[in-house]
Amino acid sequence: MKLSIRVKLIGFTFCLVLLVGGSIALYSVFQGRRQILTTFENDSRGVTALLAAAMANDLYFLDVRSLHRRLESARVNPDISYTYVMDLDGTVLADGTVENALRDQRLTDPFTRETLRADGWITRTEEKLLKIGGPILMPDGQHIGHLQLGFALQPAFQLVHDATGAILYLTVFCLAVGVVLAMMIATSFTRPLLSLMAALQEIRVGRLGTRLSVKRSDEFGVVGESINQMAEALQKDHEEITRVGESLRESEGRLRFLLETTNAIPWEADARSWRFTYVGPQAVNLLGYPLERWREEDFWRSHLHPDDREYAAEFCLKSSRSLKDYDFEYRMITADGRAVWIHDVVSVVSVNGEPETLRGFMVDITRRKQAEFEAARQRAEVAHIGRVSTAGELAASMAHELNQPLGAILSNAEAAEMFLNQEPPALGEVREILADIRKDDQRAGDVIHRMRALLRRHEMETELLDINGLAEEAVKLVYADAVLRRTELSVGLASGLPPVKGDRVHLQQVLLNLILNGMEAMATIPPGQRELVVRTEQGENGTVKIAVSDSGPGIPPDKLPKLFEPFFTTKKEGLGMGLSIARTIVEAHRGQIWAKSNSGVGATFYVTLPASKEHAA
Amino acid sequence: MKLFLIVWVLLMPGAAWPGVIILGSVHGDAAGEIKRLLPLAGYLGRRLQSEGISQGKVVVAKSVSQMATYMREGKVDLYIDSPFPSLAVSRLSGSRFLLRRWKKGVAEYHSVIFVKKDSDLRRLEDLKGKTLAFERPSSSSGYFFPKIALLQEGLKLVPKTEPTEPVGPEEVGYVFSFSDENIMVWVLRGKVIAGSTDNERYREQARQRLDGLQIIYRTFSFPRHIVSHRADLPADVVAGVKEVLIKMDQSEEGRKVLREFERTTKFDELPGAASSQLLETRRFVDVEIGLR
Repeated sequence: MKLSIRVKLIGFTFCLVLLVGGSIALYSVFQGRRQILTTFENDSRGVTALLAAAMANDLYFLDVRSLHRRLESARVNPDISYTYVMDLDGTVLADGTVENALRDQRLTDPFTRETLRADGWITRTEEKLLKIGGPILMPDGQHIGHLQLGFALQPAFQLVHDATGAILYLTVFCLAVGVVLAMMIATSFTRPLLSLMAALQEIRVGRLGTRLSVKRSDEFGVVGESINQMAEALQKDHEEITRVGESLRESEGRLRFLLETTNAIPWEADARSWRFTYVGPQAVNLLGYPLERWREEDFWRSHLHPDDREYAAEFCLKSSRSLKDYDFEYRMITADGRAVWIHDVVSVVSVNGEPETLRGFMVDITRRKQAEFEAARQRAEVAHIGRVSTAGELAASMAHELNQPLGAILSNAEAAEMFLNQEPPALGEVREILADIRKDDQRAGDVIHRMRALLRRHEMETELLDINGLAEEAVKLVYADAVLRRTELSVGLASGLPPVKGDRVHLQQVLLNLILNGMEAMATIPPGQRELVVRTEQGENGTVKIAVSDSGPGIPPDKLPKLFEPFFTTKKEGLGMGLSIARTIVEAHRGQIWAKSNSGVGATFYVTLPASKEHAA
Repeated sequence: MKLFLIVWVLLMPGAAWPGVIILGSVHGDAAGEIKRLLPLAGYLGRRLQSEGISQGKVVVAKSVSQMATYMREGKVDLYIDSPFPSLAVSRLSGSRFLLRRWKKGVAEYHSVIFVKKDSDLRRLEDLKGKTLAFERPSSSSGYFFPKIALLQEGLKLVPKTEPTEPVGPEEVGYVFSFSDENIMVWVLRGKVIAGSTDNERYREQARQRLDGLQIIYRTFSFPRHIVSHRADLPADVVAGVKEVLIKMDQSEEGRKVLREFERTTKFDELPGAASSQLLETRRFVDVEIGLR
């Protein structure tokens, strides 16, 4: 049962008044009864003692008549039921009645016997009588008799009864007054409280214009004023919120318009099932499926390009578990079977450390990807042209390098022929010669193989590469040329370098280009001073650095900024494409390439490539 | 208030009031006494119209001598009291005995001198060297008549202030107890060797101890109360009063008034023997009141 605060307040006050009033009443009744009886007893003892003192002389002189009169006078007191004055043996001398009927009778009741033995005044309550007895003494203390008075307790009991009644009536009256006061107080308290509640309920249901009529200066007045101020503040806030809400709605509309009219397709999906819970309407145009299909279970995964499905799903799963935002690219298959490149930017919303929701934007990057592929293809073409050019540059040295094994093969063949013509043929010699011929052939084949690899059309294929091995291969390719150019070619390779991820052929092309450029740059200086050094070392910020230094005349400072621009050359026969291709290849590997003149002589070209965290195969 | 005015007026008597019969009494409680006597006075006033009396009044004196003065001066016409004060007033004022009053059914009584039975006293002579208790000096039965008896036996009575006061071997000491009950208690408890009271009170106070007491002397019988009149009250009025009082018990009104007057039974003629015996005590009375 729900009780109102008014009823509770009245009940509480009533209980409190009842408890306090009742306790006080009970205590008063108890104390009053005790006080009345004690007072009655004390007064009775006082009367008895006074009477005894007054009777001492009469008793001493055995003036029974006076004793009788005194007791008779005492009995005028309606509270006194009987009076006995006795001698030392307990024989009554006077009983205060007209007849003095008990005179000369010896009393033997228990109280009288107790009285005769008592040194002082003793009392005993028997039924409705308070008996008081004690010795009558002369002023010198001589014990001459006894006095015994019986006081009717009825008046005292009546007084107790009256007092109790009065207290109870007073208590009931006080309780009644207390209840009335409680009701008044409760009403006084609850009326403003109810007003406050009513106002608060009005405010709660949105009637913010509600105001209390505050006429009090107490706490309720303060609360009422506070509620008014609160309502006013709420009203202002509500107006502000309304205004802001409208602004937000407008803003949201604009945002939604922007979101849903840009190429970036907003989406939201469950992090566990990857089921889209929201997809921007542009998605319809992306794959040609209606939005309802997008929200089907496993839509995203089932519409991934088969080649990307495993990668994209795994990447999404791992990245989401890391709870960090991420982005990745993959292909999806449209309704008409086309592949569409998607750049997906994903934000992970987590709950209790687990990915809960994924939100993001899908951007159709098919055109960009196509452009990138085209650029890569063109870059590969250019690189191939570069390599052909390089091969041309190396043709003489390679021819020279081929001459040596070919010459050896020829002379060995002639020698073998000579040994075969002997009788008996020197087959053992022939056999050794054939082995040498095979080695020379293999050497020539290696040269041709390297050349063919350089000249082959090639699209960029990435793999983990040992940059030192790459440098050594490049040096081998140009070694013969260096000999022809009378250039001292040396290599300084750092150990323990991490692998890089890249295309072997393209990166080799870059090194060959830098080495050949360096050797060409030294053409104008005396052969004894021509030195070219290829070094590898650990670069900064997780990179591997390759440096190609020559001892040539160096690069004028004004030409440094244009060095890597297409068609910029310092050579008479050069096309100015070599360094431009090198920069394209390096940047395609997310690396950097730059050049600077040495402090002494010559110049140094630097290439840095990001080190891979994977181990080389 | 009205009553006190009347009392005051009556306590300040001047000459005799014409047409008024005045009853006198000696008492310490004047108001009470007036209240007690006024019905009788009124009755007499109403009954004595033939004698020119139309009204009855009461005068209360403080002492016998004052009452004697009032009667001598004619301020009191009738005086009702026990024998000894009546004798004293008569000796002092010349008043004369008229009738006997039966008080509470008793016409006459006598005094007794008693001792405890276990004592050795059997005669009045045995009281020599002892102290006995009288009631009070104005008491007829408790003092005057027993004292006369003792004196007539030739005993020498000496007043004492305390029972324990020494008494000469040829003397009989006496103290006043001022209460019949005191006398009985004193005798029973041995405070005094003997006591004197009237025969009725003796029985009344002895109660169950009666068997333990011994009366050693009884006086002659004397009237319970005596009605006296002043010496100069006209004879017709005296006769009228006598007739009215004697006939009081014969009418309802008279009996009612008698009951109200201390349960008086009736008034009758004073027996001749009683008058003679009372007159024989005159010299003792004179001694008591100082005339001798």
